[in-house]
Amino acid sequence: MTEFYGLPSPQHFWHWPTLIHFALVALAGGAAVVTAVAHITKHPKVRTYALVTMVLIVLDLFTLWIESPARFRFTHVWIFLAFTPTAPIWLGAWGLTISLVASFFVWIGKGPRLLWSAALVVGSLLALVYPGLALAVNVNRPLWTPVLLVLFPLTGMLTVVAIAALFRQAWAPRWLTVLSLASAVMGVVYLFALATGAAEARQAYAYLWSHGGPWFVVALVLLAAVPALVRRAPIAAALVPIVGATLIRSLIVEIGQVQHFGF
Amino acid sequence: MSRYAMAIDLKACVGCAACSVACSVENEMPVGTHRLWIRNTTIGTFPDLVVEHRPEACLHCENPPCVPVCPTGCCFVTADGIVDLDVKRCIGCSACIAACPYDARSMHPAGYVTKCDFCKHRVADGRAPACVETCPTLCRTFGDLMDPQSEVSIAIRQARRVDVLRPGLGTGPNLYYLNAPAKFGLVGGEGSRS
Ligand code: SF4
Ligand code: SF4
Repeated sequence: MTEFYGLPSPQHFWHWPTLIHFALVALAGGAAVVTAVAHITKHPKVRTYALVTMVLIVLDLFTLWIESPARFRFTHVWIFLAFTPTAPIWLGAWGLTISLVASFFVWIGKGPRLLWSAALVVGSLLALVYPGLALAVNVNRPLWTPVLLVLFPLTGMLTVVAIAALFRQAWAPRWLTVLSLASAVMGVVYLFALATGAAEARQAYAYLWSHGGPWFVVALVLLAAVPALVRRAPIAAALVPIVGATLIRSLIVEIGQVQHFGF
Repeated sequence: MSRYAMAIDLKACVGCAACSVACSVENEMPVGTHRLWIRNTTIGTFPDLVVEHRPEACLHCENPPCVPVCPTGCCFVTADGIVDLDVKRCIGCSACIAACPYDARSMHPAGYVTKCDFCKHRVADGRAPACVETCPTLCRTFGDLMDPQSEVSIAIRQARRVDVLRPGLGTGPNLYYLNAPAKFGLVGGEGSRS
């Protein structure tokens, strides 16, 4: 039996606004990647994509500011005055900022094309990859495994491609199928790696299972169902992966905050 | 250059929490928030019972995982080995809280992270941290590990058993637990340091 005097108990240090941020940053990073590809391939709708990217990034940054306990201390400027490339949040902040600036110039159609292409490639990749990295670096939290380095960018791209499918972009349905299946496979790999891992990973797997595991399975089933829906019910095929991908990301962020399995 | 460390003799600790109260007063922690807490664990079954009173706080790790993840660079290690932070630059992102394997960091209601800093203001004046000075059983020692004659070096040398928390993580804690009461060492520990 264990009792505590004065435990600070930061078991849940990120709350529901953070889940909204993880959903929005998936869209923002994914949209930035789409804008980068559209800019490089001279897609006729690149300006629209750039505008959507800007709106999503601004919305995400606003959510981050709202949820920050330091929102009225305005200390966030220090991110841009420091050089901390080992910090995933620093990488993400720069990725989003670079994507925002480059998208703005693509939208107004000004500036050197090559520069904005390069900026969009670098910025969008940073923005897309950093959420998974921000979790995976915490080796002390066994539910945040290196598999997230692949699963989070995949689900991020999936949500934005699903939005594009919803707005009937011709290129979207094919990618919707590919990304849904890839995300579902990585979701299974994530569970399998936990279930067959070391003792702490297995305890974390049991914890995940008892704290929302069935919802994880629901999300996987939704993702796996997308190829069957793409032709028959295109709107459902676009909505279903948004729900599935957001559910998976939210469950991992929320439940994964625990540690001390077997400790 | 010094390397500050603390040792707590668990054989002598009675779990009175005087250290925790002293810490909160010294560092003006708001009511209900703590930098130092006590984990009281009962081990075994009657009549073969042992109780481990284990005060916990930041371990001032030699390889602190909390430092490299801080996006503003406000977490740093001083030349004396104290893992410190400049709260004026903290954005409250909780990345360091996520990275700490010991739950040693928490969010101050004013919107920045807080944790034990070995009472650096007292240490700078040549005084011991408040918890060390207050402990009624004298189970805490603090000092410079580079000095073999410091109280902490002597206490560690003379201990029957020395443990650190989760040594398998490679964080290199500078908070040592001496003479754990249970035969197997620390409750939930992964092994002895010496
Ligand atoms: S105990 Fe936690 S907060 Fe303290 S130095 Fe180690 S990792 Fe950082
Ligand atoms: S909460 Fe503050 S101290 Fe911790 S990583 Fe974020 S900015 Fe750094």
